[in-house]
Amino acid sequence: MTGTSEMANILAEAAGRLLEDHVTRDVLGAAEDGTWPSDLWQVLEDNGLTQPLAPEDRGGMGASFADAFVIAFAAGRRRAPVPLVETMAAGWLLGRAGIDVPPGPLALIDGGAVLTFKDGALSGVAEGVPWAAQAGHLVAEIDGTVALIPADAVTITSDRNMAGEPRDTVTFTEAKPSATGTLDLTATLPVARTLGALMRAAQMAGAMEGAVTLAVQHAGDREQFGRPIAKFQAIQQMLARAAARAAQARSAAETAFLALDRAGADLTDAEWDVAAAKVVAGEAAEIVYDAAHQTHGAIGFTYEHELHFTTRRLWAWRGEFGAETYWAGEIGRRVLGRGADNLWPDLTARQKG
Amino acid sequence: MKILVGVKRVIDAYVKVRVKSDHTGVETQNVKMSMNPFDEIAVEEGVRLREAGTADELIAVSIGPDQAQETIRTALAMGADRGIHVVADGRVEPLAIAKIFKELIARENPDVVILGKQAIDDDNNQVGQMLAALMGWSQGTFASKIELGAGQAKVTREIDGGLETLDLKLPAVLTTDLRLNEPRYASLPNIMKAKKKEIAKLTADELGVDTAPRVEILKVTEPPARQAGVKVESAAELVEKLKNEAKVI
Repeated sequence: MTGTSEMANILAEAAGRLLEDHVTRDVLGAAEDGTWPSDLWQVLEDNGLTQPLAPEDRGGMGASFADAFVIAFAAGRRRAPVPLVETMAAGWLLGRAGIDVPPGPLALIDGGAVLTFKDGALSGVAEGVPWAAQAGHLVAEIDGTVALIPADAVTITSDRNMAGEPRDTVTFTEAKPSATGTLDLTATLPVARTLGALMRAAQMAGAMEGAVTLAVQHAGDREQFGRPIAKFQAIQQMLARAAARAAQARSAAETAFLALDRAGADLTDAEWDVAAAKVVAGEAAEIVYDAAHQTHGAIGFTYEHELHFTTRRLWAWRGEFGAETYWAGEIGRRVLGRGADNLWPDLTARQKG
Repeated sequence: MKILVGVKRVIDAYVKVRVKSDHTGVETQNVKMSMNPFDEIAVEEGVRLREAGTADELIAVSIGPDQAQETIRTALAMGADRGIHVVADGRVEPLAIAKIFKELIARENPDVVILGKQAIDDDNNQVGQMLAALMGWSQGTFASKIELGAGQAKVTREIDGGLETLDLKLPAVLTTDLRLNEPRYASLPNIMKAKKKEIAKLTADELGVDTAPRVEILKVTEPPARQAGVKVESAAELVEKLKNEAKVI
């Protein structure tokens, strides 16, 4: 399906409608109160959206990262309160390590967690693990070894991020994986972190598009001094700037997903694109949520209004799987390592194929 | 049993339609387009009939510009087996569409044609009835329930004041109402399969149908802005205004 905008449009339409129909205000509120949206998860699974990246012979759909971008973007746009992108990323990792993908939601352990894998067992603590308590299995990658760990083999302490999404602390005490495998990949960074950042960049781009849409709609509806506030140049300028940054974030995220499709077994080059996407998303988020809240005024800060479901997620996702400082540092390290003569070619000739 | 379904590419139901500045029509450039919602229901019904084993093949047909292929592909992703795209730019009127379907019926020999009862862009509600008349076939319009049997169909339709059930002989033209079914989402596996399904391309000329419009559109304008209402103090005042100002009683 890769490369055909026609099929991408159909997937975007289908995923967008499915999420629009099932991620209602009530579902978002209940999820924040701790209710697992089982109906939403079931319909995502029934429509093949939870495992696009795993190969078909491992329980996935064998789709491309370009397709996965469409789904991750839609999930961020509609603020899906389920570990959809984490499951997608974990499924890809399992597939690359030759492990069959179990059904149900998967928890992806950020590659920044300090875990040790010794004598076939994992030890250590991972904090801020998305939906660990709701997942049947956890997926971790330690120095090229991927481990599938049953949730009942670890101790989970529930917590939440500022968007009210589960972000649990997982303690591994010589936890025995149900399966392990070796990644057939070359990478300079923990692959789980790269994949997590990639997914968050797409979600953030989607959420930013949603925030801008809400702000534009409100600016058209809300009248002040006898006319819609959208007629004031100051509002127009603010929204135009936010829309441009949201579009930039989308472009950077999509570019990173396409880089993963081109990468094959060597992720070294694609890591640049993921780093850029996460940095761009984080910087754009600041502009977008400022503009969205400024436009909405006081109503945007009420719990009853839906804007905060998007903007709190932007705040939270910005710091997950490496914030801008982490990824900007990686870009800086690479630039220095490549030397001054390569800076311009690296900036201008990165896009391949 | 072979079923033909019609799918039309229209402005998405949730898009606010804008009139072109020269008043020749509505703006379609850079506007989100989707499958006509009544046609989605037609596709869903066809897929259900095929899944139930009542039908063997479901063919999605669209008449329109190159981009109409995406609408056919969506129908294929919902479960249709193959598509036919009759390429036609510009406005194609209901009678020309019915004639194109007549020619396709001659080639494909379907037992049933299922169409949306109307397209949400022009709201004409004519093609199904015109096609049935051209073919001399039975017609079951505004169907809220369809039961197909050997050589016959039972169609429940929504009419003023209740439901009407028709027993029809096949072949027949059926048109769908909103409550016939709830269309499915195109699943990722089906979207991937749809890419490989065949879409035949034809032109109206090849089918020998003249698509030149017979109706001239003079001007397209927005509906007038709704005026603010007034509050009346009493029922007597209301009656007086209705009688003397609005002159409706």
